[in-house]
Amino acid sequence: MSHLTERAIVELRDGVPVDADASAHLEECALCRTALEEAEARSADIATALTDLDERFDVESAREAVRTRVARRATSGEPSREHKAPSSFWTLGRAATFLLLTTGALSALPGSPVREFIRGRGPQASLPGERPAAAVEPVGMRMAVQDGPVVVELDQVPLGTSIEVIFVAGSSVAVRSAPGSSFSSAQGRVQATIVGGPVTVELPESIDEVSLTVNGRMYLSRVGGHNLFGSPPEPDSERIRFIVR
Amino acid sequence: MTPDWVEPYWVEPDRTDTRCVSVLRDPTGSAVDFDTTFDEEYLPLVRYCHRLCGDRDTAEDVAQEAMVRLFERNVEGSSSGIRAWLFKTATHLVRDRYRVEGNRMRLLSENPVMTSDSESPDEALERAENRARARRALDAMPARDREMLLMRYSGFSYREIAEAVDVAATSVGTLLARAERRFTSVLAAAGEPA
Repeated sequence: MSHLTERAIVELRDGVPVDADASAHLEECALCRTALEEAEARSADIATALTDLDERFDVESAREAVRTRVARRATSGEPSREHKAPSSFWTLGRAATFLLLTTGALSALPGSPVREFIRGRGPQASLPGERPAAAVEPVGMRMAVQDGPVVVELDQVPLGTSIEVIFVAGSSVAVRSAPGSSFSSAQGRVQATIVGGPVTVELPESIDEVSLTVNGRMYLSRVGGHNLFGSPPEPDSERIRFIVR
Repeated sequence: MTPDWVEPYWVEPDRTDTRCVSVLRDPTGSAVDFDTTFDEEYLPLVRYCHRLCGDRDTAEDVAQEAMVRLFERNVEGSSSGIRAWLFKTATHLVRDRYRVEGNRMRLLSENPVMTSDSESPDEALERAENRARARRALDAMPARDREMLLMRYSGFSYREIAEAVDVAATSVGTLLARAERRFTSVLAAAGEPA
């Protein structure tokens, strides 16, 4: 058998399965074994050279930046950033001409919605009573609880976020917030890292002892059916509502 | 009162909701969630991007953009599958940014080599020289060779590299050998006195 190719040497070094003949040849051929050792040394040199390029990166800042970007796009519908070449002037010009021509033609047709629109009676965006599509799809966690005490911790809540607390029938605690938030639970405890609002906290009406902390500060404590506030709730609200300040 | 948003979906603590990776945290720890994925993937990804483009700000921006797209699009898969997806996405983002080579060179020239505070001046100087050599060697390579080399040294398998750079899996060994040869030869030449 002739000597191993450079490709076979590299594949052997990198643990890619090779045929039995190549392995057998390597056992017998000192030249190819030397080539393999050189490839291993080259690999170590490259790894060292590439490691020299590395810098320290601030992972925590990046984590927050990613959370914010995910939440912003989820709430605003902002599309992914694409780096596309701008359309040429002539392409835009052709598109504008086409639009003008088609609009003109459509407006000439009796009963055309374009004609109605131009006359000042634009089509209704939605039917009366129809529920408008919401831009935000909240995510959340629900956890069954027994008698309490229960602790709900909301962390990293951005300033200005609205938090509504609702006491409901049943025996579960639930937290809802903007996509990108993360949740964890343990016995008697729900923790949420919030990327944006609005936030809704559902607490069981029957529970004796429950507390809500926001960014490490006590906002609400319910003991024996009485609510104590560590942060003043918003006035004139049908629910208990806080604004994080 | 009716909530002023669409009907929410819920993630029970004992199961996984595959519709949103960012809340896939369950008590057993078996699910993939935002923090776990971020902790495992961000640093290797941003280092790869930095090695690839040589510009710290761009590397961070591209790595973060790839992470955002991962969660935004609810990409599902095994840990290695998610990693391959992230690196491939980041590679395409870097390619898009540096489609104009002049832009890449301008950014590189605007980003001098940074040194660590804990190094002595001699160590810092030596490291800066090593970095400059490695950077020159990478810049001298064709884009595909550079991507393959960096993916290989980020721990990817031949099959994953083939998929990311659109070459046949059987060609990876040959192309990698060539890329390594180019890199080391430029590295060695750059280290020789002028």
